Amino acid sequence: MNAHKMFRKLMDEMYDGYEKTKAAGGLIGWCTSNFPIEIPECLGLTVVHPENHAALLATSGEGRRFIEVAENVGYSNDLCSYAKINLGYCESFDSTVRNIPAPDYLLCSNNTCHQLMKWFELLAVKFGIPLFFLDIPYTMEGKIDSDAVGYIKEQCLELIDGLCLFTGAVFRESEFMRVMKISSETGRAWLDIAEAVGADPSPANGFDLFVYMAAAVCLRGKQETLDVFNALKAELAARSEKGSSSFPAKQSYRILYEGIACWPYLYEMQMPLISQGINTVGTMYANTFGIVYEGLDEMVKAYAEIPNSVPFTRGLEMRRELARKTKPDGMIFHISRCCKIWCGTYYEMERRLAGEGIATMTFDGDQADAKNFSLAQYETRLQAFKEIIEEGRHG
Amino acid sequence: MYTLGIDIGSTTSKCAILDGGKNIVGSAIEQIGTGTKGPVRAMEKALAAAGLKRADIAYSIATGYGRNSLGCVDGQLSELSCHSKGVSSMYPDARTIIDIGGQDAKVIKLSPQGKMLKFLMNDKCAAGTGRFLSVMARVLDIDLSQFGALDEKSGCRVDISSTCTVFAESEVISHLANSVKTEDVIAAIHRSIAGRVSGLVSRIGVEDKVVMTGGVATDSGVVRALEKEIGTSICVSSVAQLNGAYGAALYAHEKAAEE
Repeated sequence: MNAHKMFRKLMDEMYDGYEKTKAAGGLIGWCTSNFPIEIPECLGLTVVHPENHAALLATSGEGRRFIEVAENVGYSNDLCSYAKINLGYCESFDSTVRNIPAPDYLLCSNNTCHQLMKWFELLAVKFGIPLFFLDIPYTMEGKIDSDAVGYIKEQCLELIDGLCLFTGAVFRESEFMRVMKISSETGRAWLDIAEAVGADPSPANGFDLFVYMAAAVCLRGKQETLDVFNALKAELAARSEKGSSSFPAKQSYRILYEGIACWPYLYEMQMPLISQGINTVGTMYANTFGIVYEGLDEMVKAYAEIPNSVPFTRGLEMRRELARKTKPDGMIFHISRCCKIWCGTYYEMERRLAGEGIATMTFDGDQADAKNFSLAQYETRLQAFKEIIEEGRHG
Repeated sequence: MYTLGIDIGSTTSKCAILDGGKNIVGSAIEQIGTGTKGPVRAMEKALAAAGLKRADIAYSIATGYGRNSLGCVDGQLSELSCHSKGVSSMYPDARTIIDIGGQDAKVIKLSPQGKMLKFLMNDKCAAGTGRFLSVMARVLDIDLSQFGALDEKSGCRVDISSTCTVFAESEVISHLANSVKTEDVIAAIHRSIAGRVSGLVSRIGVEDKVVMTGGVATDSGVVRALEKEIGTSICVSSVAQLNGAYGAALYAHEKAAEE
């Protein structure tokens, strides 16, 4: 079985597993994407990631319907579109694509963004269920200090006790160590994949990272995920060896994609890229889920220093590093206005990187609300961006 | 050798035919754009004006939003490149281009060699574009061609604070209901567009010489308001509305020469 089939099977089993757990009378947790997944995983708990489910509904075209439901019941148009899709979905739990069971408890950390906190608070009130919250302080200097590590670690241990009490699960340190090891290996494998995609020529269509990253988001602590990523790594290595690629055209230009994927138009956005031979060879968004560490202290540190939780200067340095590694012809910035964390600094970041000689382009969109994207505007900008790169090559 | 450039915009279709990559020997502007008969009509009229047939054209390039919709051309390029080409050919010392078309506003930074270095376009919505002006002209029941002259007569400052075209329309109606003079409302409309576009100019960094293209450049009131906002004088291209098509025809000449 190739990596893609393994991945599809893994994701199908994940969604099927939610239903099975619920049908068997088990408890379902809903969890934010950057919460230390190692905690519920080592306790054998089944957790759903509403952000991933919202992205799935957005990609399939069903997001618009749930956004309308959410706005009709009174949620602001300006909210995160993942939140709107999920809150709209919670009015019926009726999707034609994939359904998720209602939550019995919630796991939320604030290292992704603060709107997630409010979203999960609303869910806690709506369903009358407990919210297990992990406060991960913003890392003002880009690196977290030992006091903060201790603070988060204490919370993790307390949270484990609370979860055991609520769910009846039993904590075993050996299992925690095993899951952390797998999770870290999975994170390493994911970053290796991202690095392989950044090779010149790239053995893959970089947009594939947006697809596979679902496993890195939801199932970091599972051996099956590591197996998928190892298979994908091997395929990429074999393609590089042969000089082949899954990018379906001659790779004339290499770009970095900055920001969240524009899920409702993932296919449409690729078409003008492919037709012009522009391959996406890296994206910080995917790299965010390559969480590598050894032991609890480092795990806490790794979750506290993800790109969402660091200041502008550190974020800028992360992009510079990626650009140094991948040597792109340019960089495109997705301004997803409903996500302040992933676009609030982009005008300045784009200005700084452009000043360092990187060709840049911005386009307006939205991670999940199909109303906020114009394909014609994107295509015009992309073509002009390519023409700038082309002109630059010819001096 | 004759080459043709056609700029198929959202509201107009513009066509220019060049002789030897220099002189415009035929041109036409049709007030309908993508998805209509406008592009073909503009092409036929430009050919007729030049006294040429389709077979006389050595190379043709389409640009604008409808650039991919016309099958009878030899190539297509983005309007950003074509506007850069047109301006740098006509004004070699230009470093900044402001182009306001029917549904978008663009600011382009040029190198001393006339190459496009960077561009910014209106974000989020189409406020501050030609369509905004058209809507206001309809509300005021005044032809757009009179806007520039009326703006000059403005003696009392009023403001339009909303960037949204629909809300700005209600503000205009409200001003009229309060007996604000038409020329003062028009000046406010121009300042509103200038305020929005100057944000793009500031982000890219204004550098003289600034050349303005696009249909909105023919409204002297917008130009004056923009000059005030960005703090420098603006040269309006002598082929403002035709500039994209002119640039496309220049590229077509280069292509024909290559082949």
